[in-house]
Amino acid sequence: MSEPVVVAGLGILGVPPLPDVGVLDRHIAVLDTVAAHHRRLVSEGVSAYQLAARNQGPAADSLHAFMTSRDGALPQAEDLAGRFTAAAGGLRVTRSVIVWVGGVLAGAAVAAGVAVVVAPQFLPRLTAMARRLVLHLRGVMSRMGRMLKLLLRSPRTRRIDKVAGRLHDEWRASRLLSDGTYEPRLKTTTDKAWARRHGTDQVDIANTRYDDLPPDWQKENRDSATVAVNAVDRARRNGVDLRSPDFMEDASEHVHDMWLQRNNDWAPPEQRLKYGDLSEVEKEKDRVVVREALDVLAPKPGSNRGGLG
Amino acid sequence: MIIAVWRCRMASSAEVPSPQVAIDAGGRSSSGRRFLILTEEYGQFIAESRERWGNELPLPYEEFAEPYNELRNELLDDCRGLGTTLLGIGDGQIVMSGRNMDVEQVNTMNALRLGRGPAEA
Repeated sequence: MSEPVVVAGLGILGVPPLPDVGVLDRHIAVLDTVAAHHRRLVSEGVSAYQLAARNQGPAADSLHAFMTSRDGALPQAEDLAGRFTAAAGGLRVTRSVIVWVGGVLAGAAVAAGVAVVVAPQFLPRLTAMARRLVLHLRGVMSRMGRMLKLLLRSPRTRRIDKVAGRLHDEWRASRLLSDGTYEPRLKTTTDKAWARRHGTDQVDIANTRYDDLPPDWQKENRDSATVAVNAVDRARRNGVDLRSPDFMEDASEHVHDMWLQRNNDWAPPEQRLKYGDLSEVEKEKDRVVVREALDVLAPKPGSNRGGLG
Repeated sequence: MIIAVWRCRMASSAEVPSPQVAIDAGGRSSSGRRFLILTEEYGQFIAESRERWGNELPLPYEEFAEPYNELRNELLDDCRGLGTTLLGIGDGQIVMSGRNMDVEQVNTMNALRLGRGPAEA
């Protein structure tokens, strides 16, 4: 793209030259190396762990959970290896597109240089084609950007989103109509990006999947899910029996306390009480959150929803 | 070095399963030291990779560069988190191994004080 004839031709077409892929190559190399290091770390971590394999009992069980549970050291390293590999793959695809578009643009630029001299009537068509190509390239960049955003989510974040999605589904289940839609519930979003994409700031939260809700209408379920997932993780690290009634009540109390902290301004009197003083109906609302966090961590036998894959 | 293998007596209920407990303090200590070495190597590797990665954006298109930059920061944060987890495992194993040995030493001393050999204790 840096040959004088190509640069001059691009100038005629009014298209900026495409960036050099050298930096992209360097980033791909770093990502590949880091991914490989994490894969190696998994096998070396297993070897280090096995040095203590003759230990048995609660302490050894606790270490085993810390190593191998979903957010343990080994799955964390595996997840990072996967995300670094996927990011490198994304950069490779981007590189291929840039090289391909660059090649076609270079051809168009040379043709433009010739057209100026021998057939100026072709210049408008060449210019339109070059601009379409650049637009196409920006579209691909935007899609790659979205793909990279998906890689942002760590396993813990994915668990939180899953729990929050289930809480949203449980809430709207009571509004299900015979035609498969839900009794509408219109709300106003303050999220400008969402409103721009949808052409309105009105969102029917009952007929919108959790993932498609604007962030301000995801927030409450997400906050509750975060509290519950953190409580489960903390208890697991401390060797607490997650299926015990005591854990369920302690965690539900924490979910309720945190909910009250966030919503104290408007909470009705029957909810503005200590967990122990709530009615069973109100307590159950907090237990549902903990139950979902537990189920996403380790699905109950027969659960068709499954845990995080 | 296996210090002890025994079956715990739990409360007095016959229904409560009694877990097998085996303590290998030497294995625990080796494992802990290996984890600490892995942690150090990992920390160094990530610091070097961060430097090689640099702050230069690979492409000047904001729709790509912005999420890429966000992803880079998030991945590096997660690497830091993994480093902390590894350090916790290494430290935990070494602390546990030390406790195991201390307890065994106290048991031995008590046994000697009572005039019995460690094997009888």
